[in-house]
Amino acid sequence: MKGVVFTEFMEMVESRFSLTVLDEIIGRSELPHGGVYTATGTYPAGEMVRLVTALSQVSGLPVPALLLAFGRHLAAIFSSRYATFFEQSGSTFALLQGVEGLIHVEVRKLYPDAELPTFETTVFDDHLEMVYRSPRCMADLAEGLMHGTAEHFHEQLVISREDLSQGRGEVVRFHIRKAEASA
Amino acid sequence: MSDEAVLQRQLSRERQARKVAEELLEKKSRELFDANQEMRRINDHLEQLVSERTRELAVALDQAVAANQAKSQFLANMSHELRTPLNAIIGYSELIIEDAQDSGNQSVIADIERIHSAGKHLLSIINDVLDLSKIEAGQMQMYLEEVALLPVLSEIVSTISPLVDKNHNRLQIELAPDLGTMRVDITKLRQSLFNLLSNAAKFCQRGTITFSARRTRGGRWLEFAIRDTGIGMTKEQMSQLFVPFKQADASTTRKYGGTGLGLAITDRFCKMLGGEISVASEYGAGSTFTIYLPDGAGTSSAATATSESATTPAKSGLPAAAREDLILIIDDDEAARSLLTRLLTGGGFSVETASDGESGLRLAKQLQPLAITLDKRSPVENRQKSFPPPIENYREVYRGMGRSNHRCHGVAAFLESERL
Repeated sequence: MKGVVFTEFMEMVESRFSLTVLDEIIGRSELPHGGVYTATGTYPAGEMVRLVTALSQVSGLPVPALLLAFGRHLAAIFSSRYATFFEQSGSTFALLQGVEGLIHVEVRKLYPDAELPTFETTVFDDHLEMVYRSPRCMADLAEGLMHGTAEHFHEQLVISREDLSQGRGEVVRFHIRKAEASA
Repeated sequence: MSDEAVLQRQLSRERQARKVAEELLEKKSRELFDANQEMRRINDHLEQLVSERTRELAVALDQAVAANQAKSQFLANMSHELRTPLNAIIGYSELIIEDAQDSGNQSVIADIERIHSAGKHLLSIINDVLDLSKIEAGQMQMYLEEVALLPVLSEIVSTISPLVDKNHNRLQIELAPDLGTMRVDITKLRQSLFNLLSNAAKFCQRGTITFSARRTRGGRWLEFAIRDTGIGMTKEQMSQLFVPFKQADASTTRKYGGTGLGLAITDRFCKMLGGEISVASEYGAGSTFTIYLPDGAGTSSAATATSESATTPAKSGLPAAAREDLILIIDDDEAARSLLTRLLTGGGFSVETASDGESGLRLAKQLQPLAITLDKRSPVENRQKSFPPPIENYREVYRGMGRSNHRCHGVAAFLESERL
């Protein structure tokens, strides 16, 4: 997993909770890298799982909710750090359709060792379907990223999911619709 | 857990992270440097490859051009060597036919006529080969002149008529009344139309051949169309149409004869004249060949010079020594001199001959003949190194006589006259 995910996770914990909470979850997680991450490095996804689990224990919030919140936070960071992708896409659906063919292609150019999830996107008249595949089972994080992206474009999404991997979370189909604008 | 301890741990993590980031940065920089070096090495290698290939290609191109020129030169030389004896055969067979007619010896006339016609056929094939080799060697010149079209086209029609009749075809002529005059190389136009008409006559039996000419594109272009109701062509056959030595297929060659050069030459001539040739055909139903030519296709200096030399000779101011009926024949070939002498004296001219350039020039100055015929071969093609004498020497003679309007004719194999 790319280091930027770790560094941004720790930023979020420090800003939303506190430095003390961050210090505590790092201490609890017994991380091989000792909680020392750089944005451009690559680290085992297992360390992120340990960190999120520890945060859930410390904060009393469920893991899915934490990952969703982290996804939103990450989308906001990406939209300012990699603004070009957002500007070129111009809308949530356009950006989501380009995740596999454009964004991941660029990521692999810079980091050939990056372990990325794959997204298979199908466009329908009124909605998108994206099939997420990853042994790291972080569909919650992906959904948080989708919502965060929509917030960037001042849009709202209604997302429903079906697990295609007998509940293991490795293969998940997202049904994504734009929410009707409220009066 | 005190805040101070938390902060210290955080600081320590940040410091370690910075060090890792610095190491990563250094590693990436080194990789970038190595990649740049590799790229430069590949680029140098590529440039070296390109320059080697370019050198090889330039050598190959030079070799190809030289080989092509050598081929064209060889063809031109061979054609000339073939035409010399062939023209003797044709010329003497004509004389024998005339003699036989005069003496009433009918029995040999038919045989000699066969020799004469076979000789002419062979000559036309050799002429085609020579034309094409000249075109490909870039040595074919253009002589533009103002030509009244109707008389020229009528002459072509009357020449082609026997061929049309041979296969029981009907020739339909549609010439627009406003054809007027055209600035064109008439030899090339005549040959192109003759090629198309003789093809139509050859590939059409008991059909109709329509020959039409009209002005088009605002009157600035001429369109000559030859339509026949003959065997036609398939699309595949049409794709090979203007390729030298290609006929529709081998069976066509067996059945209809020919060299497969006529259309290739016609195509090249049309392009030289600034125009084009197009074809439409339906297999079994007939073909239409159309030539489009601009009126006054490019004015070259050669064309201008030719036009000037074609003006009517001025009669005034001639020296007394000038002989109005005298033709000077300069040729190293005895048979050529003899045949030309017989032909010209038969036509009412006086003739003097010279077998080399030096005596030819002397005679020219002395006799100031009406016209001089020269062997048009280059000196290297000839047996004598000084032969033929440079044409410029003779032009000089005429200028000295005040007769710059007189013509010097180069004679290839002493029958095919070509303006020099």
